[in-house]
Amino acid sequence: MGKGLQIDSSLISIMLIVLITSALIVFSFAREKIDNPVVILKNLYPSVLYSQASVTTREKMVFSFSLAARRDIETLEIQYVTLVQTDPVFTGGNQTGTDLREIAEGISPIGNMIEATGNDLVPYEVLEAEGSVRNLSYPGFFFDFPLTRLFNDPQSSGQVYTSFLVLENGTDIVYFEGISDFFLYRLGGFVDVDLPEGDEQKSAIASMRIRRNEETTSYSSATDTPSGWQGMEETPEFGRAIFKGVVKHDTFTIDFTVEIPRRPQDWSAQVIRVYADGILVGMEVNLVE
Amino acid sequence: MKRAGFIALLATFLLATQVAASGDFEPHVLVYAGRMPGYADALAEIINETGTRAVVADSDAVIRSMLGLPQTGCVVIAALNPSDFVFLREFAPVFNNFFDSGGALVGLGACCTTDLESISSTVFPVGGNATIRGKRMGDLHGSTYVLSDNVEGITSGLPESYTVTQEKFAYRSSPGGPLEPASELGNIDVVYREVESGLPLLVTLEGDNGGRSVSLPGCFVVGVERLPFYWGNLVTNPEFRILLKNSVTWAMEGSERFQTLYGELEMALEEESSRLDDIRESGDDATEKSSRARLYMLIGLWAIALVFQGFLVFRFILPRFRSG
Repeated sequence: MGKGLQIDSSLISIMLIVLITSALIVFSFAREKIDNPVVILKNLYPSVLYSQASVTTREKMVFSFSLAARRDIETLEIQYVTLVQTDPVFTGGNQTGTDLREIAEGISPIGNMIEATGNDLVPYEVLEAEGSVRNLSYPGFFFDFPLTRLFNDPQSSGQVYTSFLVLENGTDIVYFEGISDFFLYRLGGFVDVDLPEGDEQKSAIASMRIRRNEETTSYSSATDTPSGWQGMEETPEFGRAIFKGVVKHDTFTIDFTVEIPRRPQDWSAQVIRVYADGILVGMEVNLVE
Repeated sequence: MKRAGFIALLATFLLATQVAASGDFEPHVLVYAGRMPGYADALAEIINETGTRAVVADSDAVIRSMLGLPQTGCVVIAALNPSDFVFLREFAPVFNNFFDSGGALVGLGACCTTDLESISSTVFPVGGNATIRGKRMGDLHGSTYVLSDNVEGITSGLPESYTVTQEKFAYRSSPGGPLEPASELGNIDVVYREVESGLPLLVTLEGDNGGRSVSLPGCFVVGVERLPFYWGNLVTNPEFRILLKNSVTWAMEGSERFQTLYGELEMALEEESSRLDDIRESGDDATEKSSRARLYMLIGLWAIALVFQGFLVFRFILPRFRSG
């Protein structure tokens, strides 16, 4: 009996060690933290924007963005902003400030919007951003004013500036002003441009698809919308695709092709932000020459 | 009528103090003169005398971003440079929506001409396709305004007749002679007319949807200082200063959009804020729920593993020890 007890106590010690070790392993698994609830699978965009008048180029201008969920998400939001480069107008006429953020806040619409929309309830956002063109990186700041989306008619989304991008280029700055929409002129409205089709309201987005796993919603700018497709005016308001009840491994893709009669004079930019349950979890800055 | 005006003023003041106290949101008037920023500054200075802050839209982007804000009580459009018309034409649908939703606008000069057809046929219903030049009158070069229909608020503090500096004014011409302003959007009053021709020089429009606009088809000025119709001479004209202040105040006080949105601004922000909080909260709840489920699953697996381990020990290991 004495020998049996001795054996049992060593066995019990081993069992205790196994118990404790396994408990530690289990609880370390339980506390596993996913760094980012989404993973971006694809972000394609043309490096140069061509207008339809450019007869030497027939490149399809395809924009494609895709991501997968790494955990369950109640509300997943993909927010597009399209911006065009322009010369900044500074409040008071001259550039002020020592660092980029101060300089950016001295640009007239940004400064005015910060003053007019600053509040604790629905604050404006200032995000660090970085875009690159031809292997050159441009760091800077992205300013977004959600109040403009809150109080404007979604049908005006192509005309109303909601966001600004200011990038550093050596000692100079590159400044963009933009709309909350998938692309410029989504609802047409080209002014002083004669379209070959003769229809002034034709959208710059030829066709668009929003996919969630195997489920696809298609949009077309054709005068006669193909069966099962929706018109371009039906695309999500303010370039904001919202998905509810996302489960782990769901994939989402937004694809569209662009045809424009007139391209912006300088660079343009596309900023895509991904929010999981209201928290910013991803941001892509696509600079297009 | 005076009493109603006083009550409206008091209500606006109370609204302003209420919102300002809670959110520091000040109402403002946007002033756009395109590529004549000095002119816009001078107009803003006049409007500031009304007690409402004027924001100079020194770039198109200021109008594009700020027009829809609830604090935007009125927009003054005084652009005269054809290079600014491209923006104004492109943005016309938004101005029209702004008016349709009860917004207030004041348009000077080119806004009332067919150069900007998309707003001169709607918000500023003059549709001027012809002009008559102003005249030299003593030190002034301009046109004489005489009272036609009295509109409370617009005419306050002004004589029945006075001269305003301007190069010319626009009117709607047809083969049958000049046409009176007309609009399907609401009620029109011609408040002032030119003394000789009888053509409209100030037209008010009260939209059926609660919007208000004031059209001033004169006020054509230039940026050349040596010319008698230089903008500097217009903005120092005492009657014009009163006229502009009255026009902005009248349009803004009657604007249903401003009264409604500005009055409910704090509530709208709280609603949006709580909507965002709900999204975050439900996300947190879901994350917590999923991590709890994961924990229970791991504990279950662990318990199964322990039972299996116990089974191995008692079934195979202990008997060997005992037999050994």
